[in-house]
Amino acid sequence: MMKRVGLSVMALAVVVLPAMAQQKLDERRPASKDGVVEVQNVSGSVKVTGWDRDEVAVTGTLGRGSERLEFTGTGVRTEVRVVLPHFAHHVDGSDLEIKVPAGSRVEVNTVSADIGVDEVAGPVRLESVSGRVTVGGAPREFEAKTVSGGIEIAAAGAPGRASSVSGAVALKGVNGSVEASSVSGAVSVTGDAVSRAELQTTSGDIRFEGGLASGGRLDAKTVSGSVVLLLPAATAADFDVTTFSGNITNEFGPQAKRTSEYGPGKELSFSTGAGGRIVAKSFSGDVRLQKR
Amino acid sequence: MSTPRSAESDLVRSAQAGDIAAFEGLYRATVGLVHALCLRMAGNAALAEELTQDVFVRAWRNLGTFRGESAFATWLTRLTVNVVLSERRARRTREAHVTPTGDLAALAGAAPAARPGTALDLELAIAALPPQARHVFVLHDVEGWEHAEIARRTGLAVGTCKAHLHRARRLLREVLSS
Amino acid sequence: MNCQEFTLRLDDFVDGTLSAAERTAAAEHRDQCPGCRAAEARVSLLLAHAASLPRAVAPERDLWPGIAARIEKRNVLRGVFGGAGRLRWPRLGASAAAAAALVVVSSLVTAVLVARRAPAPAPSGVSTGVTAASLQLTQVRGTYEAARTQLLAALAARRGSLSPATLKVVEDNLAIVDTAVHNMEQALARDPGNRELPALLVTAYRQEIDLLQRATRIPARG
Repeated sequence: MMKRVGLSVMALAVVVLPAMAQQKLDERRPASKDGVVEVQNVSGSVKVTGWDRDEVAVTGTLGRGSERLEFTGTGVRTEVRVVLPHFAHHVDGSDLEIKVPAGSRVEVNTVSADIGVDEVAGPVRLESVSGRVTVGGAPREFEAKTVSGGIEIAAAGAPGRASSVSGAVALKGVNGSVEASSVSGAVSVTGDAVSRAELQTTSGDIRFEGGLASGGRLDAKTVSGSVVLLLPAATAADFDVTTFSGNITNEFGPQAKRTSEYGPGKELSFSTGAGGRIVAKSFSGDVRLQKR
Repeated sequence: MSTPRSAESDLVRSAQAGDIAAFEGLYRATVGLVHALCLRMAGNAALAEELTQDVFVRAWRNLGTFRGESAFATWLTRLTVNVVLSERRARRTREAHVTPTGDLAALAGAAPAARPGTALDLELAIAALPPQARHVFVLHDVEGWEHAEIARRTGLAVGTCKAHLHRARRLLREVLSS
Repeated sequence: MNCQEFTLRLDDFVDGTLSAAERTAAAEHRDQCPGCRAAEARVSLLLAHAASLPRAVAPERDLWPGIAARIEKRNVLRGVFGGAGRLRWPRLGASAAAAAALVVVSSLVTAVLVARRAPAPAPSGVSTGVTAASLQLTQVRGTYEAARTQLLAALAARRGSLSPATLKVVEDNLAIVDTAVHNMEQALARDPGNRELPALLVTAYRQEIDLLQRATRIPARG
């Protein structure tokens, strides 16, 4: 106890006094067209937008109680970081609006702050604990991770992966190769020309609506969630569907049959033509194959 | 163990149905067996306690796989060997083998009255063996397993098992005759 | 047979695993060679001592409370009120958790690949129902359990720095995966030849390890 009090007093004495009120931000630095922009903010929000200028600009507000905004860079690497005092009891969230050269690689880390990225053409790597992650535009590659925050990648035309623990993961407009997983959150994917999609949950439901590119592969696995695949009537693929204790509903071909000698277990393998491959497995959830 | 077979299978059935008290009964009846095996195979008293706990937690979790084809103790012994060996595999990736010398006193204190001098000397000498030689010796010469079974569990070739056993016996003979 | 040959066969001789012809030859040599006779006597004495070691050695302290705590934790996880109870974290050294997790993740990946490629189980009369996939699973399970224990310990070491809300999400989801693993293990025990279960089980293992890894890297105040 004594030690902590002593340290707090020292900290107050040495460290620059934190902002007593909300503080407006308006700073900019030159940056290269395809450099790295790294952002860290604990709470509040981070909104990153690409533009056609060779500079990074930060506007928005620094939350009350924050120590300062660290905004540094060499052109190829720019860092934007909200620094909190070590002994703060309460700090308000900071809302950062950041413009970056459109070709930048964007890396954002937050705790509870929501992350939004739009109009960035470079790769994006976003990580939050409880914040929500939203990506628009057409990044070259995406990677998003949260613990409880939801993830929505609106234009997932690029290869990428998104995973959460309890948050829902939604990928829209997929036409590349993607992975999406959540332990208990729902995973949903839409896209008309999916070349490879690997979807996994433990208890979350999985929903896929769209079509496969020629030779495409869709792989959906869950333990207790349900799997719903909405596919074009003309889908040509080899299907491999199993559930241990759930039901299989199929609008494409034959009905499932029991396969296991000892326990329950249903398996359904059939082909609607050469090309794609669709695998859907659930341990206790239902699997539905429906025509769009 | 001392629990009659029918009483034992009652306990197993209740434990399989989720009865923790019944599982405690099984624990009381078999802990000495599991602990002895962990102690001899690990050659380290603190690790042996940890492993013993792991074994029973695993046993509880996997009780469903026990179908009464063998005695519960036999099933538990196999599980124990798996736990010890997999712990050993995991450990080997991160540290050199644990030197047992600091724990030898624990072996001595385990049940002094019941242990004549030679038995204790032998326990200490076993603990000081190189790990693989120790595993093979304990399984073959104390537990009475066949080489083929040991090879299957350890992932070693039968010839390698035999070489380890040979080495263990040679080292132990030297210790005991000195 | 000379002394060198006898020494090479000594183990098999005392174990009774030599062929009849070799056994006779070895016995003949022993009967006329005092040195080898003494060697055989020493091994036999050693084996007699080994066989007479107590089969049971009670631990110095009662280990049941520790086991009960871990079991009850699992029970809470398993029960209808899953996630309502606080997890008890094992108090173990947390070193090298990340390294172990890497090992497990890569071996899980291997297992998934193997499980996928595993051919249909041969129609065997063996009651254990062992398949290539289930064998692989047994190996993976050990690694998974070891990494899980370490990561739980690593998480325990820093759980004070996590927010209660995040901790709850982590614990609730660990409970979800544990329940899933438990249910599948039970199903696999009833239907050991099932070709699909090992792959699904490994998927759940991997999700748990991923979750734990993520949780151990959550920044402070998260």
